[in-house]
Amino acid sequence: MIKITFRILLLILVCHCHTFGQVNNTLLKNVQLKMDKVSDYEAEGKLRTNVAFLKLPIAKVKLYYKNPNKFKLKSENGMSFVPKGSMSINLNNIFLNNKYTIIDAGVDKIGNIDVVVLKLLPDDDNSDLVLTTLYIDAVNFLILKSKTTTKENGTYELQMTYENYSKYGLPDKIIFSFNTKDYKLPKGITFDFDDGSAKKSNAQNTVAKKGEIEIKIEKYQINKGLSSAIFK
Amino acid sequence: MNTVLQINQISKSFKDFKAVDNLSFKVNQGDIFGFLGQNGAGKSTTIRMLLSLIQPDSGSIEIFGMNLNTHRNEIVRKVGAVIEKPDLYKYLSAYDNLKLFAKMSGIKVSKSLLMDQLELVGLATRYDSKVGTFSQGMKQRLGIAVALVHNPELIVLDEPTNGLDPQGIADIRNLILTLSRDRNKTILVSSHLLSEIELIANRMLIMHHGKKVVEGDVKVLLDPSKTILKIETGDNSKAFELISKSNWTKGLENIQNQIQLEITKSDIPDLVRFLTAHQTDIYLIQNLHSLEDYFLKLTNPKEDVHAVTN
Amino acid sequence: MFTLLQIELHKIYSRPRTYIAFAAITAIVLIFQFAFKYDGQSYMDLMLQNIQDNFEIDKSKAINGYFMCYIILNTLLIQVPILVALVAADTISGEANMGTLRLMLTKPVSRTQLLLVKFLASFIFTVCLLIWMAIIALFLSILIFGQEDMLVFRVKGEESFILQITKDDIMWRYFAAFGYAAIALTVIVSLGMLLSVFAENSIGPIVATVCIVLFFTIVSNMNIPVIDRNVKPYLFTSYLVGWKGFFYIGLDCSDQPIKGSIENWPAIKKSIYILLSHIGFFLTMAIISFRKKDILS
Repeated sequence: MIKITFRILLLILVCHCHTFGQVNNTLLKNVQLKMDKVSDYEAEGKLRTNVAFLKLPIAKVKLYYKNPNKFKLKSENGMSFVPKGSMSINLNNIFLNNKYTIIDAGVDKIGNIDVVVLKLLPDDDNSDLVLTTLYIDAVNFLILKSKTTTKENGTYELQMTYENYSKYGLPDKIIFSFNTKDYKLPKGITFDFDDGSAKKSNAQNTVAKKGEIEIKIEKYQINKGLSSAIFK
Repeated sequence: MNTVLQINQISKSFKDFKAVDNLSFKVNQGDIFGFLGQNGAGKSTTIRMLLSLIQPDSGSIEIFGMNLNTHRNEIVRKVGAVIEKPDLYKYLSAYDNLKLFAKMSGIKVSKSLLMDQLELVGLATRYDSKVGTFSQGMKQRLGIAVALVHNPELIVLDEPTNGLDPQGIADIRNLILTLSRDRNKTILVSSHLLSEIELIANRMLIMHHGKKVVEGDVKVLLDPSKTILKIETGDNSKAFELISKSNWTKGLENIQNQIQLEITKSDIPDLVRFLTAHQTDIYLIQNLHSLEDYFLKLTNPKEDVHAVTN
Repeated sequence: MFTLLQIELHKIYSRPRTYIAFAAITAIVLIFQFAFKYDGQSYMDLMLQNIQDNFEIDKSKAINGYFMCYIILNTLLIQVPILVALVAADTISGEANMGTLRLMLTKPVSRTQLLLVKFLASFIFTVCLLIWMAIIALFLSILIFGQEDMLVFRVKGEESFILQITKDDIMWRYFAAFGYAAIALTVIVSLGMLLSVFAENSIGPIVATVCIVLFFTIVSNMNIPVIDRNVKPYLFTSYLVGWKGFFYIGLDCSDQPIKGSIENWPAIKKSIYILLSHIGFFLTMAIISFRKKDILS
């Protein structure tokens, strides 16, 4: 998610400036300035997976970032289900093409905070990305939320909460929401022990499922000169 | 003379087949008791009943004066048995087999005791060999060692010479005689061969179709001048009483409404006269002499046993 | 009693047949380990299915010693009862066939005692088999594949899901599972012995025991609602897999696994009682029948 966040930001910063409104241009510049203070960081996080078919314990993770676009999420101990960036892959493509039309979609509120809403439309019709919406706190120059719709992989959403590291534009908590496909193992493959507690079939199974990943981040070590070797 | 084994009117049926029918006999201390009958006569069933392997339907068994049902463990401690061919654990050595059954008998086991037993049956040199490699004769001898290892007072041998070569048969015969003579054991040995029993037993019983045919001293039963007489009269109990007061009381028994006694051939007419003089109607007189002939006919299923009369 | 037990154990361990079970388990386990060492990924791909679209999973970590043991135990579910039946169903009938039973029963040992000792010896054999399984399926797997968090793939009713148990929370579950398996297999032991009492050769009761176990297992796993409701609860084979209950980790209200917990301990406890009552029933029947039996072999 962090990767995603930064890519979005970077993307925004290199976009064609002429398509920006003057206000938005300044706003994004300020966001960029804030981001530029961080050339690399290392942080600790607690990753919590909230997907119906995954019952995973909270994983301790380490997050690494290095300017301009290197990012790694690593499980500290144990096995981890690291959320895959189908989104980040797509964003990468956008980033390479970096042709966008940016539309000012007015203002909104996230909690008590007023946000400016910007919609990014890729110029390339063949791009998997359909639309990215950014919700920016114009006072503190922070992206609070982003919503991305793709052709193939549905819609996913990032929500950032800032507290201790807001002056660097680094979130304390990120919630990544995405669509999941139904997970179904063939019956009999597992020879399960039926303790009689299984619920009767419910209709929910046919509904598309939402998954959510929450990362609480702490102990940022910023600009300590992170080696590139970590990202290999 | 102490009675070691007393069998009282035992019967056993398997479904519709009556394997043993109202059988009674006794074995005295020091006897080599021959238990004779053709295959299927009920010998093995009887032997299994007195070893508590089969529960009789009726009747009782007393061994050493104790009821087998109530004192089983006390009794079997003093009984050693070889039942038909003694199959042992093929994957264990002779020594291990013997040790295992000795332990089960509840005795203190020592190497010297076990080796002595193996020596007695002539297997000391093969003590370490697996039983799977043994000949039938060797297995039989080891079976006897197993039966003897806990020094029993009564030894029950069911067809111990079955499947043995002549030398093996002679060995077993000598062993039985030695056990009786030197160790004063009481031995019950079953066979379907009269010649075998004749050579070793002092007393014998012949069984046929689950019933006792005759029981008595081997010498008497096989004495050509003596005979076993079966008599059926109009009033058997009266006749039995009459005879028991006469001189012909040897081997006198009332078996299933037939009077049986041992008698010298020349006395038969006198006995008949005696009975008729006492107003006894004689329906049947059956002379079982000679026993050998009789038994040969018994063991030849083609001939009708009941036709053997004089 | 102890002497008798020693004798029985001596017989079991002197017999080449006994080692078939150990060899079979070793072979199966080694094949599994070899296969997963070289191509565990495809198995993982099958189990993870489309989860890999959303997540990156280090499959080499997912295939670890703990996971291997779980997979192996899952498969041995069918084989081990057969191996146990091979020994248990032979206890009485094998001796009858060999002709040693009649000799044993002329010794000053009661039939009840003899049967109990044979039961105990078969139980010890079963426990040894499980210990051996633990050594090669668990400890050898850990040696080969290492220790890592374990994924449990589970189908519950209509739902499929994956549980993750942290590596420091697994070992006790295996000990409990092996303990449970010992009880479950003892049901097979007692059933085998019961059938063994009625036969004069070992093939019959071995085949009968195996057939009963297979038939019941198939019915238990048919997944037909009417059978699941009305038949399955009455088949002891439905409870043979109860060891898995120890790997169904408890979840908190937000679906996070609670370390050191079991989802449904009452169900496992109930299964244990059901299995124990089966053992009691089979054993009592075996003793009653054996006491009455005429030894004709």
